[in-house]
Amino acid sequence: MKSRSIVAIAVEEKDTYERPLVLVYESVNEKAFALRRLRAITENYNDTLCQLYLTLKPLLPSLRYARQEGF
Amino acid sequence: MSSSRAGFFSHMGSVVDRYGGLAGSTIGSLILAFSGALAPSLENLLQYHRWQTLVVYGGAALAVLGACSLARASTKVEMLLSQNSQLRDLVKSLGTDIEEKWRHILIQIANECKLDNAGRISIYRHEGSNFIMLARFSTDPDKRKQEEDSTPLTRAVSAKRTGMASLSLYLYLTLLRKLTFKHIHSRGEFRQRSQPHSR
Repeated sequence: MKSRSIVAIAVEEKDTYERPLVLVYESVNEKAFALRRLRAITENYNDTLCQLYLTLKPLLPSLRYARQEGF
Repeated sequence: MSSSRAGFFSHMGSVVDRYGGLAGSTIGSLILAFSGALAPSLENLLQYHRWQTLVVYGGAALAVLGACSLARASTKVEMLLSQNSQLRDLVKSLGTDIEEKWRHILIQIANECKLDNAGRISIYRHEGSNFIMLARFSTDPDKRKQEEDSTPLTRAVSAKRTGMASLSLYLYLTLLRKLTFKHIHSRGEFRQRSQPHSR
């Protein structure tokens, strides 16, 4: 992959403001996707992504627990 | 300040909850064992002074309380294990659905980005210093493959850190060189070396 644009998605949860999700656009073309445009598109889906994250958070794979379980 | 103090007490509470039973039963058993070993006979054990009797009864109480706490903890562990297996089955049944839900949003974003065969969109979860890929979408099936060891994002972040470290080292060495040069110049050594011999 020659170009990469990264957008962090902020989630507000119990008075804490974190950025646990990262959206990555990659391409084999040298010309990178405009970060500003990707950020604007992601902002439209921010609420959906946050709700999905908070709903599925207990079921998401955790690297720490996966290591403890020996996977 | 108050939140850090609350965090400290919460941490201490969890430590006591986790290791209190084991420590109590061990210390209590040791006290009982030493008390028994030091007493020549049962009569002597009963004729101890007040503080010695207190130590013996305290040790016995500690051992009993520790054993009760351990029994309670083992029951709790069994309950959590059964819950864990139920949850694991649930996650296994929902695993594909979760990925599909993320992918559904990724497809919508990809449509808005007008993603072609040359690109792909991925969503990662940031945990500690690692990034765990939740879902990926690309119209090209070869680009959907996931790296086994470390994710490209983790490599990108570590590369950025290495770059920052290299830049810091470069700046430090440049500053050091300039300071050394200034020092030599102020002592006049540089001037003497650079001047040609008059003969």
